[in-house]
This record gives sequence, structure tokens and C-alpha cells, in this order.
Amino acid sequence: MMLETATDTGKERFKTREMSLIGQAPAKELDVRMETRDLSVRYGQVKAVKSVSVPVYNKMVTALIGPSGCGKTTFLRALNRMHDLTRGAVITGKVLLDGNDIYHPKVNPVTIRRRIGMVFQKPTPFPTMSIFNNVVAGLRLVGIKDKKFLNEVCEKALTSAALFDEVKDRLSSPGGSLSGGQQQRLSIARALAIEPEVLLMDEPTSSLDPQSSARIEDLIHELKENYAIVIVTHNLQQAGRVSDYTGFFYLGELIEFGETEKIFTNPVNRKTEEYLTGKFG
Amino acid sequence: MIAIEERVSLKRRNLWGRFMVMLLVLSTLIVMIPLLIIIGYVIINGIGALNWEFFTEELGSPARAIQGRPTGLVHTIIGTLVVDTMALIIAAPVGLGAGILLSEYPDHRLNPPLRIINDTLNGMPAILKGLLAFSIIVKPMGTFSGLAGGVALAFVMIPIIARATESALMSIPWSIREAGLAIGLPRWRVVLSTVMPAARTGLVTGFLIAFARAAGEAAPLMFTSFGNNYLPRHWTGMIFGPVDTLPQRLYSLAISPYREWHTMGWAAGIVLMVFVIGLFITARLMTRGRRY
Repeated sequence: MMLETATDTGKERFKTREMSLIGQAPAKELDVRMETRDLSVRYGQVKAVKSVSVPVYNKMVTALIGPSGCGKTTFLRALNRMHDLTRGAVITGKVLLDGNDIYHPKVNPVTIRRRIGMVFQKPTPFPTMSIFNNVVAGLRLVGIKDKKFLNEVCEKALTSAALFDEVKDRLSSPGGSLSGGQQQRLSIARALAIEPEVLLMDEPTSSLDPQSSARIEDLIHELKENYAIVIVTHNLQQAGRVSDYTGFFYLGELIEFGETEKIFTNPVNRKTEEYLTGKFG
Repeated sequence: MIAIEERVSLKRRNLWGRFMVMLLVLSTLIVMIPLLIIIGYVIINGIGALNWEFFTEELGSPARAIQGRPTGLVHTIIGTLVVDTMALIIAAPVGLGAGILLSEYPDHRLNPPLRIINDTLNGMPAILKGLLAFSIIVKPMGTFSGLAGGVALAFVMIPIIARATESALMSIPWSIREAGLAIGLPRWRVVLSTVMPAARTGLVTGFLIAFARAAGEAAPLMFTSFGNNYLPRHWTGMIFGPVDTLPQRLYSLAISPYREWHTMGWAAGIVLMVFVIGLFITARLMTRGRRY
């Protein structure tokens, strides 16, 4: 397409785009943290994501919904270059972080991933590390040794992840000794410890019980004060509860994107409506 | 629709099931019998020569054994440990590195050729590895040496360690690596600090199995560490001079014309067997631990 300059903020563009999608300009001034432009991902011959352009606003939660296999997780993983290790994954189009393409050949994926954190579907504590070492892994393993600093970061991250009070007396026990819900919050704390700017969450509550899920949802509400959050979820109620913006994916395409309230109450696209009313998916 | 019961009776299927299990038990027995025969035969023949002196005295000349003077294989047991340990010190870093490349860098362009080379090296007769060590160590040094034996055995160990390392690392779920990458760790750091610690039991097991396999090799040592009836006067002789090792000594004793030495050969067999089986059992017990 014609989008060669990687420096414009894209705000204007998405204002107009949203108008065309939901028929009305957003009420408040939005700060675009990330955006994709005609982002496509294909595995060999299979196109998993087809030319998706979508903004990620700062201090907002963007939910990606859609039936299984619709490409939403694949899309999410493209946002912090997680596909770099996937054999046969080909990515075209652009992913801009503050206007700069993260797939530019001169960009180091490691620095990108320090700015764009990720929480996975399954809790993934490092099995051989203590709770403390799990949280500060992203700092300690790149050479930060200042114990006092690490302690501070650890406490702050665990507090943000609403886990500190539960584990403060056993920071040296293994990360794997926690319950599933606690492990997931540990994974979130670990992601927060490196102070990313954007937080990607891939179905963060799908392997948790309802109580733990509720805690994570509360947490998302608190975290969005400081981060841009993108969350992939199968749970429509959850998307409705936690997100400000929602994108509906179907067969690799972004069918509809807009304010969550509008998408849920008055979707423009017939497919979106059918999905939200449970006709398929 | 006709019920399955009417087509094939339950009774007949049960009978088939039992027959098949019997076949499995039979093949298990066939696998175990040679092992039991070897263990039994070696013990019966060698137990007579196993005494305190066997573990404290050098072999010396055949006259010692024939005249009933104290004789033993202490130099052989020490030599085996020295040569095998040298081999492990050489092979461990190389095999580990190759295994990491095989498992963690599937896109690296050296990966496919390395896989073929490693499999070929693994399948190559050990005597050829001895020949290699002979030509690169023994010839230039002008003498048989423990070091040459260590190098020969290292070539036996490397492909085993590489393969064991690969499978140990592969057994660690991919999600651990992604979790490491997602907090901005470089790839090598992810492997070193998250994947390898999680796989450490498997890695150590690989070393043990390689060690045990190499410890049983006689052929590559014949013209590298060569053999020695005595302990070297100085410990450096273990590295730079000819050294005795159990499998090669077992062979030398067995082809000697002395009845006493034959018995000692069987006894050497017991020691070697206990050593190797001990290593394998340790490796086995270690892998029983945690799974991810």
C-alpha cells in the first residue's frame, strides 16, 4: 500500500477508519501506542491473518475476539515478534510501535520484546527458579545484580500483579509450588518487572478457575492505568467486562473494530452480530 | 444393524488379547535371558580371582600369577577411570554444544549437516575412531598414551552426548522458551538459564550413558592407550604414557596362554560389568524424576 512513512502517528487515519467502521467518531482524544498496517501472517501456504490494520490505544484495553482458529492469537504473537522462532511463518505488512516498524531489519527483536510484554494462555513459571528469581528473571539474566534494586522491582511487580501478600513470606520457594491462578499472576508479575509499555495477554484466564479469573480481570483494570493492553479471549463476557475496544476476527480477517460498548450493543457487521449472539463459533 | 458381538464373539477377542500379551512376555524373556547368562557366566568364572589383592596390586609379569604371588588390576581400574574421565572432559562440551544446536537452532544452516554427521559418527565402528586418535595423537607424539585413548573414547561419547542433549532439551516445553523470549531475553540466555536448568537431569543422564558406553569399548584403546602391566611411576604417565584399561586388559588376559590370567580376565569382566551396569542404573533412576 501507500503507507511508506513509518513516522506519522496514525491517529488521523484511525479516526477516519473508525468512523467508517462504527459510524461515529470516538469521543475522547486517543493516544495510539501501536498499530498494524495490512499485517498478514502465513504459515507456509496457509494464511492465518489477512491484512489486518488496527490501532492499540494507550491506557486502554483492546480485546480480540472470534471463534477458534480465527487468527487472533497468531495476530497477537505477531505484535512482539513471537513468530520469529516459528518455522515457516511469514509476516508481511507493518507493526508500528510509537510509529516505528518493529519488523524493520535493523530492529533487534529482543529490545522490542522488552517494550512489549506478553502473558501466555498457560502459566509458565521457569521450573527451576524461585518465585523471586522468576519475577526478576528479565533483569537478573541480563546482568543486573544490584540486590536492593531487584528486591524493589520484585515487590513492586508482585504488588501490581496482586500476588505480593500471598507470597511475600516464601519468595525463595519454587515458582512451580504456587497454584495455577497464582502462577498466572506470577507470569504477569514477571512481565511487568521489565516495565514494558504494551502488555499482550493471550487468553490469560482460560486455564484458571472463576475466582482466579476474576482476580486477573480486576488486575487488568488496574494495569490499564499505565499500559496499553491487548487481550485475546474466548470469553465474550470477559471481553465485555475488561475492554474499551474490541476487534472481531473471523477466518483471519478483522471483521469489525470499535468501542466495545458499540460492538456489543450495535455491531455493524452481520457476522459480528451472529457471533455475539451465539449463532456460530 | 448387527451388533459387534454377533460378528466376533467377546470370548474370542479376549482369547486373542491374552495370546498377544503372552507373545509380549515371551519376547521380554528372550531379551532378558542373554543378559542373565552373561552376568551369571562372568560371575561364576571370575569370582575366584576377586580378592583384596585384585584391587590393590599391579598385574606384573605372568609369573606372579602362576607362582601365586600377589597380583591384581589396580592399575587397570585407575587407568580406566583416568582415560574415561579425560574422554568425558573432552566430549562433554563438544557434545553439549552440538546437542544445543540440534535442539534449539533448527533454522541454523549447520543443523541438517550436523544431524547427518552426528548420526554417521554414532554409527561408525569404534575401531575407526581409535585409528583416528592413533593418527592425530599417537603418531605425532611417538608414543601410546592415555590421552590418545581419551580422544578415541571422546569420539565414541560425542554423538551419544549430542543426541541425549538434544532429546533432553526437546523434552522441555516450548512455552518455557517463549516465556523467556517474552521478557526480552536473548535466545542464548533463554537456553542457558531457563531450558538447560530444567533439563539438567536429562543432560547428566546423557553424560552417564555416554560414559558407560565408552567404558565398555576395547577396540579403540588397543592402539591408543595400548595397555600397561604396571602403574606409571608418576601420575603424568597416565596421560602421556601407555595406560591399562578394563576392556582392553580383559581381552589381553583372555588371549594369554595362562589359566590364572584367564580367571583374572573373568574377574576384570565382573568389575567392568558392575561399573557399567551401575552407571546405567544410576542414569535410569535419575530420569525417573520430574517430568514437564
